[in-house]
Amino acid sequence: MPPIDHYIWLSSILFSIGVIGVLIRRNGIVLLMCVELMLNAVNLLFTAFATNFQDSAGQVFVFFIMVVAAAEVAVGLAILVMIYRNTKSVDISLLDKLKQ
Amino acid sequence: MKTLVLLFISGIFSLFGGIFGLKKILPLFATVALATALGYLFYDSNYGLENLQNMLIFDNYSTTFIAIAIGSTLLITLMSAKGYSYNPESIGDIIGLMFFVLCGVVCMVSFNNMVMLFLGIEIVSIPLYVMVGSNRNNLRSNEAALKYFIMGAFATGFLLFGMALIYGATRSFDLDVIRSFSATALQTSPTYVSIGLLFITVAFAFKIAAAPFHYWSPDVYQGSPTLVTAFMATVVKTAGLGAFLKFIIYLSPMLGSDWYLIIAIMSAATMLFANIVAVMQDDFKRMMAYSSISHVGYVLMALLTVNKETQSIVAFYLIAYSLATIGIFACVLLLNPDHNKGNGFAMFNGLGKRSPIIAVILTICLLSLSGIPPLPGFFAKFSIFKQAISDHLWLVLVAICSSAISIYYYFRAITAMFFNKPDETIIAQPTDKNIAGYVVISITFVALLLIGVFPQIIGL
Repeated sequence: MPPIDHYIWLSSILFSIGVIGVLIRRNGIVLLMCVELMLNAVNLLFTAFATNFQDSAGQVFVFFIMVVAAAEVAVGLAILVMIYRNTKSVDISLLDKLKQ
Repeated sequence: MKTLVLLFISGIFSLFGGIFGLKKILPLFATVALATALGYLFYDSNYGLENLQNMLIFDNYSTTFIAIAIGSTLLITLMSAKGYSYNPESIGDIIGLMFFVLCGVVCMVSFNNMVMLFLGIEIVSIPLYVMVGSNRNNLRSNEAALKYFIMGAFATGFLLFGMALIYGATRSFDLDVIRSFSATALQTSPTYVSIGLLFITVAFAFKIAAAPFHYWSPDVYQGSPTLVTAFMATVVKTAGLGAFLKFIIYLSPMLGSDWYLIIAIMSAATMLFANIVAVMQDDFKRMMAYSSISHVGYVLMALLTVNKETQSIVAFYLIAYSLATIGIFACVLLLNPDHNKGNGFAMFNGLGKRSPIIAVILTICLLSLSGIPPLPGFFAKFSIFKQAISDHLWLVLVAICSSAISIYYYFRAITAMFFNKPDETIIAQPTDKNIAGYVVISITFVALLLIGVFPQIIGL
């Protein structure tokens, strides 16, 4: 197994790409993909630590994260469908009604 | 444990009851179920603490915070028959989701393992995204749901990354093990620990809406249906602050002075920023959002000094804050049951003449939030200031200044009620048919006065 630092760097880079994506993209579907990228970077980190420590708890946590991420995306896509029905678009910059 | 099972079964029953035509009795059923859950909670707490495989521990701490959450939900549920009238065919779903949120609250405040903390936060968040967007055809509700969803999912990512780093340093998710490892972990991998704690703090700050991570909160509070806003402002805040305090109590050996300085600065920024911006708001629900952000700032101040008193101080603050907030949102619901109109300050114009009962109760609630004696809001703030003054004098000065600012915007609503002429074009007359709404505001009124005059009756 390569040193643990390599895994930490890889998952930090993936996580940062996800964060930057959430901050700069304006398409609802792409936002969901970026959030998934963040969660999967964390999954990678958990798996790397668990393998390094020979400890199963970290691997089990990954399953919890996968289940929760699936539930979250299901709700997120439902919200996007609801918005698409009302605005005919998934561009989130159209959503600016809640201002003064 | 019995409480958790009962809440979960009630949630399933409400979902099916909505399908099989039991919509009329669901609000009543939910009230009875919540009262039973509250009874079981106190009954179980007589037998000392209950430890579920070191994953969840039900002790005095969790009982207090679960009781505050269930009690607030009980008051909110009483109004659900009229409060969810914008979408009457899915009232079963909304009440069911509310029960699931409470299951998450139970996990959040009684966790003893990072897994349960993560699952609790998610079980609270995911049903709430749906509840916020439950007014399907209203674009504002849709927008609020999407904003809350993106911010919530983003914060979850930070929480998990922080947990992964803590796991990397301590090799366990069990908080007892993490605490016993903390000295070794701080020596061998200090970077993991400090970055991990910072990320988890950021995630908590997102969830409880503390500055500078509060930007989602005014939009979401304004766009959600009024009852859901009340639910978020009380139950979810209670759960988030309860979990954060428990996290701090557990991990206090790992937290350095830098970390406490970050929380102190966050608290000062939250109080000042929220109170100054609230002055400029024209929408009442948006103002209430900034008001609830500022109250998070005061509670963060109490989290800086962790001793035996902290738990009861925070719990008393949350009880005072939740009662007043529920009273205010119940009054807003009585005045403006139609969810498509705005909630400008104009809806209060001349309320003192049109409906003196609502006007007086709303005034008492607003005065309690602003911290005027002899209402519980004053004693709650006073005990927080008293605890913080020896270590953080500057923070107490900031808090007193921002309390003074907050009096301006609370009194803006009060002066509108008693001194402005009613504006016939904008205001709806309060509907007298909503008896449940009047019951709720009477309960909050009596409770606020009782707790204000006899603070010891809640036994904290």
